[in-house]
Amino acid sequence: MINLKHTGLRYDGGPEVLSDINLNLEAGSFHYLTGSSGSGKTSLMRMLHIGLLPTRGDISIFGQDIMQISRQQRADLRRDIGVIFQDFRLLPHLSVYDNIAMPLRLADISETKIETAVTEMLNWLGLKDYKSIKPAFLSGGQQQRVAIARAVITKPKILLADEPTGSLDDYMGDRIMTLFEELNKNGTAVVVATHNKGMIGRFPHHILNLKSGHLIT
Amino acid sequence: MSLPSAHIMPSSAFRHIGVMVMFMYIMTSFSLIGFLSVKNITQGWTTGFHDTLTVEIPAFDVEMNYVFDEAAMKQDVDKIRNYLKNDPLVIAESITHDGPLTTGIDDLDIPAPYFLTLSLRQNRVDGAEARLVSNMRRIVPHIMVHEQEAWEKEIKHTAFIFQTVFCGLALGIFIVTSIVLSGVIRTQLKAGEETVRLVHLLGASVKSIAALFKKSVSRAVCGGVFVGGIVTFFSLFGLLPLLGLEGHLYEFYIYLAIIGLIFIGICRLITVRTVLSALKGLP
Repeated sequence: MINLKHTGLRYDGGPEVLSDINLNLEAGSFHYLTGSSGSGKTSLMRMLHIGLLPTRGDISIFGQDIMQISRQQRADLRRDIGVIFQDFRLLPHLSVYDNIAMPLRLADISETKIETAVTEMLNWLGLKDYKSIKPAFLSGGQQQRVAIARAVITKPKILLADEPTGSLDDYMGDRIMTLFEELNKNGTAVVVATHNKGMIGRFPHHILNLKSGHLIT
Repeated sequence: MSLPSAHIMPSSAFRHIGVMVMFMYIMTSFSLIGFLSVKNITQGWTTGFHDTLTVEIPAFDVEMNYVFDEAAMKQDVDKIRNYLKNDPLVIAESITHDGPLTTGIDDLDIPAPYFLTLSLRQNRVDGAEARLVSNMRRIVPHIMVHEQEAWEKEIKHTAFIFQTVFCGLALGIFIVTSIVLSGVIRTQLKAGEETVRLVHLLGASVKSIAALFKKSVSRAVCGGVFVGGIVTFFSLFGLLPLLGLEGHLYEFYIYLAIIGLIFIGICRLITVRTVLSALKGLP
């Protein structure tokens, strides 16, 4: 699904923050991405959801070399990648409902189907009473659940999650990890960047470790 | 993509574009009204000049040292009029004479000249006027013919200057509108950078983001053109009769509609180009 070959990344001619990354993520795979702060986890995650383009090497996603395809094709690829950002990145002027519905609207899904899918997701995450609320009035944990709902609502082929349970209690954290595992069983490749060793222990999967921009598998 | 444009930018963000376009539309419309008024009025004037010739039977000779008496002048007038009766170039004539100009001093009453205004046939051949003048001079050598051509040229030249100014003004307004609109869009993009980046990461292409902006801007511009159009529409009712152009009302309305379409077209084009250029750094 995602294939990186000798991939490197540097910002504005500075030193390489990612060096010679070789990685192959298959459909149905589940990986944790670990590493200390500044090791390049966020940069790698951004590169995987085509938020950044590598400065050297190759990346192919769903068999397409992202350096060779058009911006429109990259946009189409992104719709099959769900992303959960560490800082949630919810749109402050939209309600919880509209935030979750956004990827479906971008994919041109009908409003009837969107309503069914979003309502189901809100019920599952315990947010049905908050559908008209703006994110600013939600707690950190609730915002994180909205961000997760937005990422998984399209049942993406790849799910990239940056510290997805950081603001959640253990019970909700485990429910979210169970949701990821269910998606994974249905063929979604999942990459979770985390420091949470307890969670890795409870839900054991393959670990990718980043050290100073180098990937140690 | 069924994403409402308000999800990227609040609709209020573009309201002031509508207000700006309204003012710009009114100014452009009045520039055009100015342009067309000058054109129509000038055309009316020059048509009148073009087919008219004024012949003066003077009271003085060229050096102003000889005064013709009233009887001699009348005789000259009769000679010319007799000739004109047989010239097919002249379709009508009228005579103007104010009588002696009274000074209040009995011995110093000054004789006034006779003026013959000739209406000439339209679609005449080149040189016809020169032949007419030459024939009249053969009969009365000291007549003076007032050349309308110089006036016509002067009026046309002045009209051209005014028309160029009005055209330049309209063009300037379009350019200023484009620059201001581009600046406003860039500012809005900067203000909503996080939102735009996020929507892009969620799968919106740069083109579709530009389309959303275009939709919002178009709505604001259409509103501005509509309000500006109503103001100009009613202004024309009062303005055109004053200029003697009430017969051109429908012609003006067609031009107003064209200006509106140009505004909408330019604003849509500038919006798309600005968004695409501002977001060219996105992968």
